[in-house]
Amino acid sequence: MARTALRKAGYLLLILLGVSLLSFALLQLSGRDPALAIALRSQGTSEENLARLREEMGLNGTMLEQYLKWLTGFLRGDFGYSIYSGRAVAADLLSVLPVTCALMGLAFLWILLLGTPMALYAAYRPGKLFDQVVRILNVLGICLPTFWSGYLLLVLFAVKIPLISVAPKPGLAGLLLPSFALAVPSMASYTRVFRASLLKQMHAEYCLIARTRGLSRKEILLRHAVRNAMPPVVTLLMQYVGYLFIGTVLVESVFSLNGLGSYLLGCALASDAAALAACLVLAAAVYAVFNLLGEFINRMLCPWMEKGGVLQ
Amino acid sequence: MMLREKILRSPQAMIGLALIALLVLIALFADVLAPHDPTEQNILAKYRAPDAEYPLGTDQLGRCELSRLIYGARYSLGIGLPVVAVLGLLGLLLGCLSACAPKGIQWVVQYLCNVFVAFPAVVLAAALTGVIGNGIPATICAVLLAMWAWFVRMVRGYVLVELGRDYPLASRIAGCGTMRLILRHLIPNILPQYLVYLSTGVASTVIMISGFAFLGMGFPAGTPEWGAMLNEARRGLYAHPELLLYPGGCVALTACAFNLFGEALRDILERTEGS
Repeated sequence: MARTALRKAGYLLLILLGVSLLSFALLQLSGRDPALAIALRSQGTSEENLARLREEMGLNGTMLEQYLKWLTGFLRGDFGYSIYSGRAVAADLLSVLPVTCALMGLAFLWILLLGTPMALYAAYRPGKLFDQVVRILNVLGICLPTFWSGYLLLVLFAVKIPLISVAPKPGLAGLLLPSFALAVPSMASYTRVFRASLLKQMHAEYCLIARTRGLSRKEILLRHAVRNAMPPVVTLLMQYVGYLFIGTVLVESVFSLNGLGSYLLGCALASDAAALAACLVLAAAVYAVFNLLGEFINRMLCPWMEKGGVLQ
Repeated sequence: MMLREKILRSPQAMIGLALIALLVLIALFADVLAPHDPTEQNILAKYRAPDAEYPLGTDQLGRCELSRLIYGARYSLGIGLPVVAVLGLLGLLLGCLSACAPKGIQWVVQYLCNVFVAFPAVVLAAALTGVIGNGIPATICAVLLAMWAWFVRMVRGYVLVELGRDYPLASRIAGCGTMRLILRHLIPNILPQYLVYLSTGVASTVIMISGFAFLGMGFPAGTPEWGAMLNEARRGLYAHPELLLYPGGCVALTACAFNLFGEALRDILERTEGS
């Protein structure tokens, strides 16, 4: 176990290295001079100013030196200087991340709290009315563009049923609607995969044997099938970390929330290479770490399964 | 043959296929079907209620809403279908390669997949927009870069399952080379399952590209693309919610068509597998 953990962690580091190289390469594509962009905003574009800024920002030297300098800075928490906001990228990220994290966390709660009972009950009685309804809802849910369902909710709750305040409010209450809009497509695919995985287990031999020994369908489902059905679902949930990220950016725009999404867009339109590279590396790193976490969860859930589920 | 019959008998698959055909026809014959020029502004007639001349009314600049929706199909399908076709071919090529090639090459392809899979499409789109400028090339590149690894992984998974069966071994014994094994035996066998993935892939690509357009990435202002239309309609959110309703509904309908067909095909294949 310890050896596999070490090997996996080593591979993760290798992936992160690739991620950082790729992000750095993208950043180099822009062909714009970041020192000039900053100089234009602040100190003036005299030659000595530019030279000083280049020195400060580590823009002198070969590509490899620049990369190493950028990488070591990154590891120390220095993500560079944002042209878009005029502040350090790290400070910017600290101020926008709480909203995004809360949004994604709440969306995960919606997915688990609503999706799990739906999948369990649908798999308990496959082919019955409830199952059929869930099936249709799933197909529809996957098709809903987040940016559209967000507005539908907004109009519905603002105009037709003014129960929940739709104005951006501080705290979690203001995030209920946005996180729900964010969760719907993922919830639909989660329910579908969970149901299918449960049914596959229910048809497995050990469940048939348990049935002949007199256990009820309900007992088999909850005691035995659930655990074995988990690995593909856990893998999927970890992949949602990346998928929800796309949704977050859209939902933040719909509900005018000040999170990572709006920051990202601002940086994109301002061609802010430093901030964009930081966002790329962070997003990819978070995703890679969560995927590894998923593998370990699967190993602990079902040590008897060979490769930790379906991650291949 | 069997599969074709089963598809013809599944109502869900046929509804999906019919919707896909309808959308493709609308996209192809947009200039015949649209009653007006989608970019023609008529400031005197903005926010017109639906009537004989403007069947779905007009938007904030007095442009015919129906014509814009019809032309929108061209953007969604015209980008979504080719992008998925490229991804599909790339997936087949690299997926088969990474399953049948020597261990070293397998490792490299898988490593690249693991690196690329980690990047969320929207961050890549934002980065590419910032780097190569706002436009359709940036969004298409972002989708391709973000998605190719998923297709490769999928194909690799399918091929590994097939390689575990008896027929690849049998054909090997009969003297079949690797290329021939891949082209004549493996690809035809994984194609139905891959079609499921491609179909749902079109749905998510269409949603993704409209999402980028909604965020202001990809299309010049005023383009009759569904996501961009939604973005422009935000200003009149409470006064004219119907202008938000139509384009979003079109995106959902397109995604629905491809998902309905894909899911129906998946059910058919799973049932065949089980029996």
